[in-house]
This record gives sequence, structure tokens and C-alpha cells, in this order.
Amino acid sequence: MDKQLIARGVTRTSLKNFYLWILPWCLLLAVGLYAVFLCLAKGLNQTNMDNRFSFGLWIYLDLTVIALGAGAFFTGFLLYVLKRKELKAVINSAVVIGFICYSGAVAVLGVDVGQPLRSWFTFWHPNVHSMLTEVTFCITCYLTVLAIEYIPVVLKNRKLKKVPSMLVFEFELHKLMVVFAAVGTFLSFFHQGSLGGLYGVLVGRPFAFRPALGIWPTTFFLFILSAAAVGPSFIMLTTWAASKISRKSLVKPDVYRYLGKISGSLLIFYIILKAVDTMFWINTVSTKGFSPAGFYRMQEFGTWILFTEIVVLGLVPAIMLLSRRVRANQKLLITAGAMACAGIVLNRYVMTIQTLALPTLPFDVFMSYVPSWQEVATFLAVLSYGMLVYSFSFRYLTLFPQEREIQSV
Amino acid sequence: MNSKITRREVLQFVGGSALGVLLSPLPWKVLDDTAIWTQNWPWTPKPKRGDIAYRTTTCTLCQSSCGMRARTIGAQPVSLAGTQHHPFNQGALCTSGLLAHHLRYHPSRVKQALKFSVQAKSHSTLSADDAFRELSAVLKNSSSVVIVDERAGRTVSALYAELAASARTVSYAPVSARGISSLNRLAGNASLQAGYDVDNAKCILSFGAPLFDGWGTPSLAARFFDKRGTQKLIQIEPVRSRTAEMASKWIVSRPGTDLAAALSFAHVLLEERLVSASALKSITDIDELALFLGAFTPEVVSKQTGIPPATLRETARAIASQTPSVCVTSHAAGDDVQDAVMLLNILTGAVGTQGGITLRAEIPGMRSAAASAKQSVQIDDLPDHSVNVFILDESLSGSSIPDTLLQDKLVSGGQGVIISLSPFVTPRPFALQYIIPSTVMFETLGDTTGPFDAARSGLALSSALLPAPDGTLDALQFVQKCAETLSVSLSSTGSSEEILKKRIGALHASKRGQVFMTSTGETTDVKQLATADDLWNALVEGGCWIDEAVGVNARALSFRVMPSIKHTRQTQTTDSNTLLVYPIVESSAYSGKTVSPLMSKVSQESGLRLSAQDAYLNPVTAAAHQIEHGSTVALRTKNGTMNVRAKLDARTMPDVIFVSCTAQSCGNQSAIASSAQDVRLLCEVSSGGSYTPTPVTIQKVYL
Amino acid sequence: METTQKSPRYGMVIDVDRCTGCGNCMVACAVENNVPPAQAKVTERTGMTWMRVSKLDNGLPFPENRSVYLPVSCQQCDHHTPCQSVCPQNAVEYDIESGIVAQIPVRCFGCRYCMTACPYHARYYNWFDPEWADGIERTLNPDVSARMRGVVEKCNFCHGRLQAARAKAAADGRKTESESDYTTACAECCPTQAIRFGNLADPKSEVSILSKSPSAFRLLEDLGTEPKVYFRSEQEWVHTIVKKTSSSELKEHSNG
Ligand SMILES: Nc1nc2c(c(=O)[nH]1)N[C@H]1C(S)=C(S)[C@@H](COP(=O)(O)OP(=O)(O)OC[C@H]3O[C@@H](n4cnc5c(=O)[nH]c(N)nc54)[C@H](O)[C@@H]3O)O[C@H]1N2
Ligand SMILES: Nc1nc2c(c(=O)[nH]1)N[C@H]1C(S)=C(S)[C@@H](COP(=O)(O)OP(=O)(O)OC[C@H]3O[C@@H](n4cnc5c(=O)[nH]c(N)nc54)[C@H](O)[C@@H]3O)O[C@H]1N2
Ligand code: SF4
Ligand code: SF4
Ligand code: SF4
Ligand code: SF4
Ligand code: SF4
Ligand SMILES: [Mo]
Repeated sequence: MDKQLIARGVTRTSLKNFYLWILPWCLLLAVGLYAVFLCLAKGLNQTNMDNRFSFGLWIYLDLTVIALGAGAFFTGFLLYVLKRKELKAVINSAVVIGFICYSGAVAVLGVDVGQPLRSWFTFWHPNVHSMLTEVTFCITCYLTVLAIEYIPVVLKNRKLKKVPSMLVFEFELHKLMVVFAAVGTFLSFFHQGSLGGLYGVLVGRPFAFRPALGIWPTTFFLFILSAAAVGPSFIMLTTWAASKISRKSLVKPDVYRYLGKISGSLLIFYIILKAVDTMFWINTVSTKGFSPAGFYRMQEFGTWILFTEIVVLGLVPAIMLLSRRVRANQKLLITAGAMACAGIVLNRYVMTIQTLALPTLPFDVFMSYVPSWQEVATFLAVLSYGMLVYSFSFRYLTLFPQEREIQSV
Repeated sequence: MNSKITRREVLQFVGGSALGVLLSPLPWKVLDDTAIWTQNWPWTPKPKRGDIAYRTTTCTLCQSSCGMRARTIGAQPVSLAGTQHHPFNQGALCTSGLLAHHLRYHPSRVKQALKFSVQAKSHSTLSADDAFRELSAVLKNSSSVVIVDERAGRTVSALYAELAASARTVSYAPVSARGISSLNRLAGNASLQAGYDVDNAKCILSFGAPLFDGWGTPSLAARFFDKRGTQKLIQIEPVRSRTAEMASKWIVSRPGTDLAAALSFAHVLLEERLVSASALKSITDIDELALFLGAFTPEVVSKQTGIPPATLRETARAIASQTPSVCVTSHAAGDDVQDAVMLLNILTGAVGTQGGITLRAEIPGMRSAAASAKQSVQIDDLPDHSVNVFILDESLSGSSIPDTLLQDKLVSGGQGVIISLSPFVTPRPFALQYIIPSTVMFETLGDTTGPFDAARSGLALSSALLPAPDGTLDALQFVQKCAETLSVSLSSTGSSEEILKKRIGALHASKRGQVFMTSTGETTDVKQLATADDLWNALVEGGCWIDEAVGVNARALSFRVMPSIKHTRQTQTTDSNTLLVYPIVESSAYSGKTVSPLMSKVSQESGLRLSAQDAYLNPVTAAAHQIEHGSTVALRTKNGTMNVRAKLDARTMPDVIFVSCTAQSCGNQSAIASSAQDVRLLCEVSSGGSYTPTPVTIQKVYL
Repeated sequence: METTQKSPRYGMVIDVDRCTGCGNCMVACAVENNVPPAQAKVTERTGMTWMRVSKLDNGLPFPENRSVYLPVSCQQCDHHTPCQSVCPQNAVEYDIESGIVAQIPVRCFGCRYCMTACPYHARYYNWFDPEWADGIERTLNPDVSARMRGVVEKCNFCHGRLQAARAKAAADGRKTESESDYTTACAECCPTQAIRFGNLADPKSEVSILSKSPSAFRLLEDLGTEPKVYFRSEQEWVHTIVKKTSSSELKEHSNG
């Protein structure tokens, strides 16, 4: 059965090895699900969040995961809408990763809210002024789109293809892909933006607040741009990692270089805007009665963090990715991609955690927060879930169409 | 079979049924039900509805006897507020009083008589009859029984005294307000009653008394603010406390040096001849005193207290010139400090003066206080290990008598017995203890005397809004049970209402004083009330009686001070970088007593007040020991060790650690389950059961 | 006539020079609004204190250290109410009739976005199931329903009391509640009368006059949230420290 499910023309590790690989992820998933159960049954007192750190690890990682998962929409957009055929080599993988990131984030949100059974009230009594309403609508729609995009990948499975009706269905669906890619791109753009807006609109948090361009704060656009910029890098990294773990060549080297180039061009653009935005913020925040230097007084959150975010993990990888010489060297290319991703991970951290840690009131004190094991385990469950979905997809579905070609050479 | 179903049919079926389900009420019903269910979890309590009414009564949790108005649903009070314009408290309540309606349901409430073994490792429940049968055997076989009354002046106090007078083996120990008991001591007259007329004082000198934080009635701060400018408050304290912050002047002193400071003031008063001739004449042993005080020059005392000599002199001159002045101490000060401070009041002529310490006449209708005083003993004066049984009346607000004091006086070898009349579990792990369940506020009719920070004495009644739980006794029933057990007959017997009515009847007959009536918000002369029932009704409705401004003639008083003063403890001269630990109550709200679980708002949930095992530490001292805010710190004195949680506070004097006496670690827990340690056991006890600042070593504990 | 009258805008003026930090306002609020006591695991960071008395000090060492207490509840932001604009499901409402920012716990799904948005840390999440010691639930206020775990709540200027005052007005045939029928539990139980409550829209009201005095200030005034809770102090240093926002006066605290 296992053999028959695996795509023709590619080799996969033995079933035993595969089981050995997934076993730890299954165990981690089980522990994580227990943590989820604790949080749902006993409440969020199981976490180390509190009235000051009303958002914690989960929101931070949700934002991060969704930024990285943006590779899916952006690759789809480039492939289907802008007809960049080179990206056909990674689109399936990108869709699976996008699906994992979004579904994982939604699952964690379900635990993060105190009354998940009331989540649908947002559709019932929506506050159209709330960024979170925007986020909720987009995430729901986009997850549906991702699921639809995932279906053809599943249907292409060797065994399923034997069912004639499935084949027809897949073919019809495929014709529609352009539409889904376009809708998905729009939703995802919007969604990324709303996540940025989530913090940018906080008038009460001058550290995060940004003035509006049109109806959205600048973070709305910066989030879209940063996600689009690192998405391809993340696809590059995951493809590279899958290839290292499976010890196979999955795509041709020029695909990596191409992804790196897209990432680099967008990243430099993003970093320039981010720098402009920061300058502007520094010059306006004092009108709110806050001194910009004050935000960086604490050792933990000194100006080094700003420098690291913009220069070390922004400007440097952008320049590296734009250099043909760097792209030609896979080690350097992957390093630059990893740095770009780390920059966005840091940016999301600054926006979520640093914003909350900084005092607002004159008698406030700086506070720190360390997540509880339940919070960490819940997140590891999502990671395991992602690993498992990806591993199964990798084994039984065609995530990298070039793989067969490369192997036959 | 299978082949007959086409894909189209499957899709049609699936699509059709999906649409059908959506059009059916089912999904909407499910959504609606989830919404309703998420709003009504069965374990979320639902407030009971009912008729809303307002009842005025009197708070009995402490001597302030604040007038309060209860909002009730049916008979159940659901919130409390002060009675507007009440002469005792001017509409203010303290934090514990505000939550008094929770005490009936406190997790530490005793529902049945309890018997604790010596180590208090185990306890058993008893029926009321069995308990009294056992107590009867205990009392009959004991040669020394001491009844401790923590709120003398009540009707039951007189009956306790009477019981003691009739039974050879029983004595009566009223625990009177410290400063006032000093007056009794120095005047050699145990029946003298007095009050602090702080409202009319021009200058108040406070030795660490938390005037605006539970020392007197809760309205004291407002009364002071409203007089701002015309009244001066000098606060001597090692902490910039809430009171020090608002005082006219704050003098920093090292803890445990109040005695020296007080004696240096006395020295200056004599040296600079600031004492009036009549005051000098009232002290019979003035020459001996002058000789003794010679050693307490401001220059010498300055070294101990850390107060500059000039400040000591200025302060002494202030209390002598800005008259009327009054000197007060914290409740926690030892007898030696209290006596020295009372000496200052005598020297400045405050005793018997308006704006000083006013002398109060006996309240009519009681067995004479003078007669009671004859039977009275001071716990302190009892020989160590001489008492077989302590009977503690903890029915009002729990006991504040230090365990160590009781332990010292009880016969050794764990043979001592403690009988507590108490609504709550208050374990005393060093004796065989019986707890007789008593009523709490709102369950019983009782009387209470007025505040001590007022010129005139007062009386008020607290009424029973709710039925007392089965098996509980109020103090008046308890004293009769005890009398029965000891085969003594009391002058006044019957129901609590009968006994109290008798007293109010006598008060009415005396035609003395005035009565405040909640029905009109006005004060009338008792003379104007036609019948005793009118007075009774006014009091039952939450009014109060206030005495006329007549008192004892102060001129008749003479004081023999040296026996008390010369026995004063030598002020410990620790060098100034010795770390000291000192227990603080930190609020009227705690007093180590049982308080509502909701008090967690001000401690556990906000840190506004110290929680159990919290300690204030100066940031400089903390830094020297690598201690951070929130660190666990091990304290070690020669009496033992305990861990506390550090709270850095720049208002605290460096090198001093103030540790909370609060016992409850979590308000929702019964005291039986509490594992909080008591810092007081680490400290040295001085005269009168006060704890003194004690040398300590500290170390951060890495968890 | 009453119909031409502007609708009231309720607010408070708190005299910090009179506040002794006794905590009455905190417990009176909890009693009025059926806020449960803390469970064993609750800390200063997970507590439920609609009214919270904080200490503000001048930052100097002993014995120069000076401090005042600031009782901080919801500041009832009047402009761009931060919490209200972010709530995705309209569980926060601004009542035009009274200017009160109301919380609707039964509509709240506990996302806590509003808490992130509130610069005054005035919102509290029910980290635990509410729990009253056996019997104490009989002392709950019948005018306010108890909330459950997983939702956010905050000061609403004693909404139950406003309702009661409105009901009384309706029964008496009046259009609006009379101000003498409506005061908050914290103002009522403050033993020093440090908390004054009333209608800011009425230029003759005590709060309105006090709020305009030079000794009055508001917290984080520059944010532009237009709080309806004012403070006041005659002490110079208090004004200086309040204007200097926390970010320039950071102190470290950690109990994570
Ligand atoms: N350092 C230190 N020492 C302590 C403690 C501590 O925490 N630290 N704990 C202590 C505690 S909590 C307490 S309460 C104390 C005891 O504290 P005390 O100072 O003894 O206070 P109360 O128990 O309130 O006593 C008041 C008494 O005065 C009586 N009284 C009221 N008015 C008059 C009057 O006009 N005339 C006369 N003659 N009597 C009047 C009342 O009836 C009542 O009996 O001991 C304590 N010792
Ligand atoms: N409403 C109400 N009021 C009450 C009570 C009540 O039940 N209800 N209980 C009463 C009772 S029993 C008590 S114990 C009290 C609590 O009141 P107190 O007995 O006065 O005790 P603390 O609150 O500990 O305050 C002691 C103060 O003395 C200061 N201090 C410490 N050491 C020294 C020193 O060596 N010298 C000087 N000068 N100052 C020092 C500390 O800074 C501290 O602020 O409240 C009393 N008031
Ligand atoms: S001061 Fe005493 S009498 Fe007054 S409310 Fe508080 S506990 Fe009750
Ligand atoms: S203080 Fe906070 S909770 Fe209150 S209205 Fe303003 S933002 Fe909302
Ligand atoms: S926690 Fe509740 S009130 Fe706050 S934003 Fe979310 S749904 Fe609205
Ligand atoms: S106004 Fe009411 S709800 Fe607000 S803090 Fe005061 S008592 Fe609490
Ligand atoms: S009740 Fe009044 S004095 Fe007490 S803390 Fe609150 S505002 Fe301050
Ligand atoms: Mo006490």
C-alpha cells in the first residue's frame, strides 16, 4: 500500500525509517494536545500571561508563522498571476506550508481566546473599525482558499488519480487556480496588513502606534511588504531543509537563486521604508509625551535591538541576496535567507512582546514574562502538526515536480 | 449496488443535504445554545434577587464602633457603607468593616465546638453539650483560670468581672487600650477611663501611631485634612508611612528607640522649665524623676535615635508651647514606651484637658468599673507558668494577644488549656484548646463602647439582622454558661436582649448624655426621650449614645511615676548598621485577625498592602545583599528562621526589615490550611507583649 | 426644560493629597460589582481590581522619598476610546447618554486585544473561574451578574447604580436620572472623600469646577484619549512626575 501511494519515479525512505522520523513528532503532538486540553478545561491561568502581558508567546508566534507562511500566497501570485513559471517547482510545497502555517495559527488562536465558543460572535456583531475583525474575516476566508489550493495537490496522488471522477475534479479545479491564487493573494495581503494594523492602531501604545496612510497605519503596509519579502526566503529555506533531511535534490539550483533574488529585491525596498518609518516615528512620538530614547532604556530592549532588526538582519541579508556572487554560493544564499527570516521573527517580537513590556503610566514598572510549559507545548504541538502534515505530504504527494526529472538524470 | 450510484448523485446528495441542514433550525439552534451556554456556566454563581432595604447598625469589629448602613436583600446584607453624620465615624468605615458581612461565611468559620490537641496536629469536633461537660471538668480541677476580655466596657465585661469576683479560682484580665492602661498604672487607679481628644489638640506628637491608617476611627484622616493648617502633627517613625507622609512634620528615628526619645523630651521639659507648677505638683516623686531623667540629654539620646539634638529640643518645646497637645503611641508599642509617653502627657498638662486626654465618667447602668477593677489582673503581672486555663473572649474580632505571652503564663509541659469563644479557627499550637463557636456581626445583639480617639465616651448597639447558626453562642450566653459550669449566680441573666435592655433602661434613667438617631440624623438629649424604649429603639436602629462632657476632675489626680519609669527596659544600643527585623500589622485591616477573603484586592491582587510573609526593605539594603524586588529572603534571628518575600520600598529606613504579621496566605482558605509562618515568633518580646526590633541576618534564597 | 439639556457626561476628580491609600475604594468596588476574591495562585499581575490604588513616588532615596497614592480605574476615555475601537465584536460600548464606556462581558470572547489597547491597564481578564467561599455568594449584589472565566471586565462607573437611578427616574416620570441618586461605590466609601463623582457636562457641578482648577491633571493627557477621570494635587513634584512619562523613569520589576 505504502509503495503504491508514493509517486512514480521518486524514491522515499523505508517505511520503518519514516515511522522513526514521525514518532518524536507524534509524541510532541500528544504532549501539546494535553497542554491544550489543560488550557481549555482550566482556563488561561495555565499560561504565564497576565493583565499586562495580555498577549504572549502565542500571538507572537502566530504573527511570525503567518509572516513566514506568506511564501504561499506570494509564490502563488508570482506563478499564477505574474506567470513566473520557474516557481512551479516549489508551488506545491509552498501551498502546503501556507496551509500548515495558517491552520496552525487558527488552532492556537482557538486556545488563546478565553471563550472560543463565542468566536463566531465576530461575524454576528462585527465591529468594522477593529483590525481584529479584519484579521478574523481574512484568516477565515484565506484558510478556505488554502484548503482549496491544497486539494489538487492531494488529488494528484498516484492512487487517487486512479479514480476517474477525482481526475476530472482535479482538472476543473486546476483551471480555477488562477482565480483562487488571485483571491488568496488579495486575502493574504490584506490579512498580513491587518496583523500589522493590529498594533499600529494602538493609540495607547506609543511604541507601536503609527500614523495612518489612508485608513491604515504604516505597519499595515510594512507587514505586507516584509511578509512578501521573506516568504520566498522561507520557501527557499524549507525546500533546502527538506532536501537535506531527505538527502535528495528536490529542485534545480536556479530555483533557490531565483527565490533569493525575489526576496532580496523586496527586502531592500522594505528595509528602506522601515527605516523611513522609524525616523518618522522617532520624530513624532515625543508629541505623545514619550521620549523615544526612553523606550530603549532597558538593557533587554536597548537600541541594539533596533540596530539588529534593521541593519544586521535587514540591510545585510538584503544586500547579500541582491548580490549574484552570494546567490551563486548556496551556503551564503541559505545564510542570507535565514537572516532575512530571523529579521522578521525579531520584528514581530518587537511589535508584540516589547510593546507590552514597556510601561505606559508614570508609576508603571518594566515587566518581564516567561511563557509557561503549557504555552510552549501548545506551540510545539503546532510545530509537530506541521512537521507531520509536511512529512506525509512529502512522502505521498508531489511537492516538488522537478524531483523526478532531477532523479532521472 | 455500488456501481449504480454515480458521482453526480453523491454530490447532489451531499450538496442537497448541506443546504437542507442550513435551512433547518438545527444549526441556528446549536449556535444559539452555545451562546447561551457560554453565558451561563452552571458553576458561575447567580446573585439572589429579593426586596432591597437599608438597615442601620453598628460595626463591632473594633472599638471605633462605626455606624454603618447595610443594604439588604431579604435579611441578607449585600453591601455596607458608613452612616452619614454618625458622631463616632462621620460616615467613614475602614476596609475590614466594609467587608464585615462576609465574615458569617468565612472559610475559617467554626460550625461546631472544636478540640485541638497540644501540637494542633489534629483536631476533633464535639457537640456543645460534650464541650461544656469537658470544660466543666477542666474548670473544676484548675486552681488558676484567667478570663481575658479584649474589649472591656461591654455589658458582658461586667459579667465576666462578676464571675471572677464570685469564683475563687477565677480572675479577670481586661486588655485595655495601651496608653490608657499607662494612665491607670501611673495614677495608681485602675478604674480611670479616658479618651484622646485629638480633634481639639493643637499639636499631636505621634510615636509611630498610624493615625490615618487604623489607629483610631476611619474618619480621623478626613478630620485632620479639614483642619489643615490649624493643627500640627509631628510623626516620629522609621518609615515614611501613610501617616508620616501627611503629617506636618516627620522625624526619622531608628526603630525601638521611642523610649529614649520620649525620656529626652521629658528631660528637656524639666531642664527648660516648661512644666507648669500644677503638673509638677501632681507628680509625687518628681525629685526622683528629675534625677533619673538627668541621663537622657538630647545629646546622648541623639546617638541612639538618630534624631539631631536640636530636633529633640524643638519637639519638646513644641508640645509644651503649642497646647493643648497630646502624645500618642502605636498600639504595638510596649508598656515601657506607653508609660514614658503618658509621662509626657502628664508633664504637658494634657491629662484631664480638652484637646489632650480627657477623663471619662463611668457609663451608667454598669456594675461599677471601680468594682470590676478590683478583680482585674494584668496578664503581664501574672507569674510565669502559673495559669491553668485561659478563657479568651475572641467573639468580636479575634484575639490580638501574642501567643508567646499566653505561652509564658500557662503552666509548662503542654498542660495548659485555652478556651476560646470564637467564630473562627484560631489555632494556638502550644496548648490543649477548645474553640466554642460564637456568633459574628449581624447575627447577634450586642453592645459596644465608642472610639478612644474622642473626648467623650459612647455606647452603641449592634443588631441581629440574620439568625445565628445552630450551636453558636454570643458572649452574653457564653458567660452565663461559664457561670453555670462554675455554679456561680450572676446578677443579670436571661436572653441577651433582656440583659441589654436592663442596661439601656438604667442609662435612660440616668438622663445623662445625648443620643444620635439615624431616623432623623439628629442628636437629642436623653432627657427628651420619654421612655427607655425610645432610647432602646434609637440604639437598635443604629444610633449611638454619647456622654456629656463631664469627667473626673483632673486636679484630684496624682501620679507616682518612678516605679514604672525606672523599670523601663534599657534601650538597646545596637550599632547603626545592625540589621533589624520588626513585625508590622500594616493596616487596621489585618491586625492578624480574620478578615473577608475579598481583602485579597488590597494585598495579594495589588500589593497595596503586604500579604502574608511579605517584607518591606529599603532598596539600598536590598542591593547590598543582592536582593531584588520579589526575591525570597531567609531571615535568621536567635529565635529561629523564616522565609519572606522582599518588597523594595524607598520609604523604609535602610537596615530595617518590616515583616507583615498577616497570617492568612489566601483569603479563600481556612486558617487550618494556612501554612504561613509568624514573624513574631522570631522577635523578642518586651513588656506588655510587644515585639521589639530584633537583630537579624538575611540571605537571598535561590529557588 | 429638561429636553434641551445636554446629556450628562459622568466623571471623577480624585484628590491625591487626601488619599491615604486605605484601599476602601478597591474593596467597595469589588463588593458592588460582584468581583470575586483571589484564588490561591492569583498574583498582583493576574488579580481582578477594577479600581487599583497605585503608589507614585518621586524616585528619591530614603528619607527624601515622597509618595502619593493614585486610585486608578477605567479612565472613561472620551475620544477615540482605545479599547472600544479595537474590540472585534462590539463587546465594548460607548454610551452617548452618559459618556460611560461600558463592557458587555457576555459578548466578549476573551481575545484581550482591548487590554493591549488600554494604556491605563484598566482592563482585567478572568484568568480563573470566579469562586466565592461557600455562602459568600449570598452577599452578591443582585443588580450585577457575575462573570465567568475567559472574559474581560473593567470599571463601568457602577453601571448597576446608574440603571437603578434611571429606573427611579422613570418611575418618577423624569427623563434623566437625578444626579443625587447616582454615585459610585468607590466615591461613596472613600473615608477621606478624596473621590468626587458627578456630571462634567454641568458647568456648575463640583467635579466640573474641580476638573478645571490648575491643580487638576489627567494621566497620559498627551495621548489624546480625553479621560473623564481627573486627579488633583497641590504638590509640585506630583505634576512633574506625572508629566514625565514612565519611559524616561523606568524601573525594573520582574516576577515572570
Ligand atoms: N510589636 C507588636 N506588638 C504587639 C502586636 C504586634 O503586631 N506587634 N500585636 C498586638 C496587637 S495586634 C494588639 S491589638 C495589642 C493590644 O492592643 P491594645 O492597645 O490593648 O488595643 P485593644 O485591644 O483595641 O484594646 C482596647 C481596649 O481599651 C478599652 N477602652 C476603650 N476606651 C476606653 C476608655 O476610655 N477607658 C479605658 N480604661 N479603656 C477603654 C476597650 O474597651 C478595650 O478593652 O497587643 C499587641 N502587641
Ligand atoms: N478599624 C480598625 N482599626 C484598628 C483595628 C481594627 O481591628 N480595626 N485594630 C487595631 C489593632 S488591634 C492594631 S494592632 C492596629 C494596627 O496598628 P499598629 O499597632 O499601630 O501597628 P502597625 O500598623 O504595625 O503600625 C506600626 C507603625 O509603627 C512604625 N514603627 C515600627 N517600629 C517603630 C519604632 O520603633 N518607633 C516608631 N516610632 N515607629 C515604629 C511602623 O512604621 C508602622 O507604621 O490597628 C488598630 N486599629
Ligand atoms: S474602624 Fe472598627 S468599627 Fe469602624 S468599620 Fe472598621 S472595624 Fe468596624
Ligand atoms: S481607560 Fe482603558 S478601558 Fe477605560 S476607556 Fe480608556 S482605554 Fe478603555
Ligand atoms: S477581550 Fe472581549 S472586550 Fe476585549 S476586545 Fe476581545 S472581545 Fe472585545
Ligand atoms: S466607579 Fe464603580 S466600577 Fe468604577 S471603580 Fe468605582 S466602584 Fe468600581
Ligand atoms: S478609598 Fe479614598 S482614601 Fe482610600 S485609597 Fe481609595 S481614594 Fe484613597
Ligand atoms: Mo491588634
